[in-house]
Amino acid sequence: MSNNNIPENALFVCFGGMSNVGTLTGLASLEAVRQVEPGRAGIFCLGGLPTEAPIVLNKTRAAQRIITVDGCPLNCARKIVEQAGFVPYKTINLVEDCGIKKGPPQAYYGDEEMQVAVKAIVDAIGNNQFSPAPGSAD
Amino acid sequence: MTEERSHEEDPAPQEHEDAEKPRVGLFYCGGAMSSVGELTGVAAFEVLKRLGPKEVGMGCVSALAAGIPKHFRTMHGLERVVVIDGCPNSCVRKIVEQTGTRMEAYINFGKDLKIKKVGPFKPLAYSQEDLERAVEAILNAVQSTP
Repeated sequence: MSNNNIPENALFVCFGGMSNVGTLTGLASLEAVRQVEPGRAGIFCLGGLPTEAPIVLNKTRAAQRIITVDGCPLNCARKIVEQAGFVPYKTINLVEDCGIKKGPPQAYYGDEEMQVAVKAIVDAIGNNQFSPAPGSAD
Repeated sequence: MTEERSHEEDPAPQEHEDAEKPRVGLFYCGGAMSSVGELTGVAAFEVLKRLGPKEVGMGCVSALAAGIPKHFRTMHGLERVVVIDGCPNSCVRKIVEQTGTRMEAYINFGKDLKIKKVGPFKPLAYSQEDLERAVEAILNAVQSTP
């Protein structure tokens, strides 16, 4: 956990429900956060960016890195983050990057798709150990 | 995974997108900085499980915020839209209002159901009782006469 109890990596996750991959972004991100060390990552409020919720904007600015997790090729989470003026450190798309097939919500997905999605998110979180800026008090 | 991608529309629409639309759309927060945000998604999916995909469908709030035309068309084709927020920030309601879309019913778990917001970054810190109350409220909103 970084300063002010803000997770080092801010995950902005689609969690849309119109397709299986949108839903999978939310569930896989919860599992990924559970698997990494406490404080390494937290799932933020994507809806708080376009609505300029102060608490969301402030915590996002305080995070060290931003990772977006989208399900389908529309890449809505990434677009919202960028439209809010932030630059993702990594972007993950479950269809394009993980090869998971998009289907209707009730198509769900299997254990294999879940494991692939979780691994992609854990890898994105895990490979960016934070280095304090020169002159930082930390 | 950082290469540029820009698609106004899904470049590879799937067959299911032409399938029969549900009667009611649930547009939920799904934010995970607090328990009530996550609860909106969990409760909405429980309602889908109980009523089935012909009666209710899940919406993509992020697609509205990102301005994806296809999702506006889908939303306007529904008989009834239920908007669900978890906390007083009311982000989904604001997104719906900002984008000029529609809602026939609105639920805010904090304001309307007095479910306690627990956070930050404690998405699963809601109780079974909270979940049951949330599901009941959504069921009522879905089944109310327009």
